[in-house]
Amino acid sequence: MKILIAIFLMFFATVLSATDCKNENKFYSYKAAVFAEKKNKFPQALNIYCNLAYKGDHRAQYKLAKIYFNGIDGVVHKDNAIAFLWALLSNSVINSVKKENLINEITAVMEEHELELVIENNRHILENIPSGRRIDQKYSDIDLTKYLKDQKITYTGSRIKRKKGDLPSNMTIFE
Amino acid sequence: MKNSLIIITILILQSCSMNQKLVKQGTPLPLKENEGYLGLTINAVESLSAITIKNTETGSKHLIGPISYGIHQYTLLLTAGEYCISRVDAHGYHFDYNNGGFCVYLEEGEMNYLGELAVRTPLSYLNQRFTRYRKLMNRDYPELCNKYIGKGCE
Repeated sequence: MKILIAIFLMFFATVLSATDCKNENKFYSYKAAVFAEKKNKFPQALNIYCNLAYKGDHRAQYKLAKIYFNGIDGVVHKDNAIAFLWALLSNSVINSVKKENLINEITAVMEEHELELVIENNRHILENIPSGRRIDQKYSDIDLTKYLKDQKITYTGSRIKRKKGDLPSNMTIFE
Repeated sequence: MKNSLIIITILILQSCSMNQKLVKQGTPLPLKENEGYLGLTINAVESLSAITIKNTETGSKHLIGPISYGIHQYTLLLTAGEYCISRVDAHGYHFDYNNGGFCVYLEEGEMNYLGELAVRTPLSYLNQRFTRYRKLMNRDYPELCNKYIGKGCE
């Protein structure tokens, strides 16, 4: 009996390790995954979603949850525990009715003690994988120190005049 | 000669305005097929004349403005596709974000939250401030907030 319980616990403790992504050298955005899915290229779509989900893209996390909940013939086996974890993560920072509905659908087919075990044994995963991001572009870092050093600033009253055309284009900070 | 100059001027003005659409204020309409909502907050320390959001696939431009200083939410109804904040116009200067600006892939049938654009000189940046957006959206469009976001709305 103890062995059986141990196996059961081990299964849920490593539940997310079943979602392994192939490391992609090239960057693929969320849009690329959606297009791949629409073209029925499920392994490619799954891999992009997976890479983005681990980086905190809440939309990719939701898609993974849906994929694991429904399964895809020949690509992914149905797995309610993995689906539940990704759905929880996806809804943790940016919540929506759509995500809440998926969580309800998953919990409806799982036993209460199963749900508790999945959460208990994967708390470290829920706490360490970020969420709430949208990864639509690959950003290059802007060297602010260099930018500020090169700037000649002229003070004219309360206004600061700068040369036109050499302002940094963008910067994105996610928490 | 004079007439042809007038015609050319009219044609130039028409081509400039043809692909630009000023986003109307008010409760966004219900979604139709191939449409989604784009949600964002704009955090400005001075008043802005406009912010341009460009569809990178069709080239169509959507203008928000004028924008008073402070933090405001905007929920826009747009056709699905990839959108980027391409330009911020303040009074007397502007920023172009053509090279890798703030972009989002807008999915149909959904509320697509972009973030909070903090407009600052010389750097503007995008933060994730969903709680603030939800609060402002709930104040301005409670029905929409309930329909798409749920928890945290009235």
